[in-house]
Amino acid sequence: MAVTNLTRNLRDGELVLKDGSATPKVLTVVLDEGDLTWTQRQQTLEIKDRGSIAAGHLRKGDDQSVALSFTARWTQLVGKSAAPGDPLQLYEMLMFAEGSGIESTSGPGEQETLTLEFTVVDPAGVASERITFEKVYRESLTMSEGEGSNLIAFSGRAFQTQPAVERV
Amino acid sequence: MLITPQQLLAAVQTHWAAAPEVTSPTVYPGVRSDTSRWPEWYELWVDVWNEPTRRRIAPDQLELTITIHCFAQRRDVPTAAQRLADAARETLAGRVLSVVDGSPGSTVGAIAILEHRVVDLTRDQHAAGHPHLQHLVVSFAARAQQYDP
Repeated sequence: MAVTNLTRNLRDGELVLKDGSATPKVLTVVLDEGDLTWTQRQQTLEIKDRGSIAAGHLRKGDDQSVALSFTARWTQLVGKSAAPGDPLQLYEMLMFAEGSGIESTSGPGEQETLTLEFTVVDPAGVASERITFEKVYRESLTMSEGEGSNLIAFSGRAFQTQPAVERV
Repeated sequence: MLITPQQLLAAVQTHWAAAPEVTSPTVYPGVRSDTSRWPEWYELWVDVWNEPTRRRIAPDQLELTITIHCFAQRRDVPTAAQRLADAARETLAGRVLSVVDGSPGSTVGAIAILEHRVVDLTRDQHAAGHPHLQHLVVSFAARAQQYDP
């Protein structure tokens, strides 16, 4: 059987960030909250015929980028950028912090972007899937205190109409 | 490799046993002691283990409750159990304890001890026929986290 009917949940996910270095620097987000959300949007133009929908038609609008967000608990905000021997931290990767060595996946002069890979492991081990978001840029990064853990909330977009979904 | 209950219990007991504030004897889980002639004593338990929802790749994390029972049977010091409870709070509140896997210097995680709650059960002991036994229970919420596996 190529698929399993077990529903997947946050326990099955794994979120990985990659930069644009020749040998990409990889950060697995092990303390994320399991709340990755993305929205694939579609713009449609409603062309009405003298106000009539029945006589009207639809046209494709402009491409829309993918909106995505996730939240992670934080241990430290900076690591590698503060001391080269320390492990890379999520905050400094998302911020392309100086000294962290993170390079954009987009060309020079363009907005800084990363690749985000979300793997959903099939608990039955049959049909895991990887969803890859390219050219992910940051719109906001919100840090907050919490009773249980302090949090980093990322919100941004992938500059593509839909992520690539593949079976792994 | 998950943090084991034995490792967590050992971390709490080791810290407790070495604390200068703890001057009265302590009864640990699994140990039988005749306390009938002791003027005061502690009983230490790690009695709630809760694993919150998490990703499978995330480090092991447990929510714990550490409970210290403070007993005193001293007619001359009516607040003896309160003094024991104060010592327990001083010993554990806000502490971060290392969890080791048995070999020296091999820290596998930590226990962060958070807020506490004190309940006075002395009245219950009186009702149960122990008119001179003071009994306070100090419960600490704690969080254990495995370091990166």
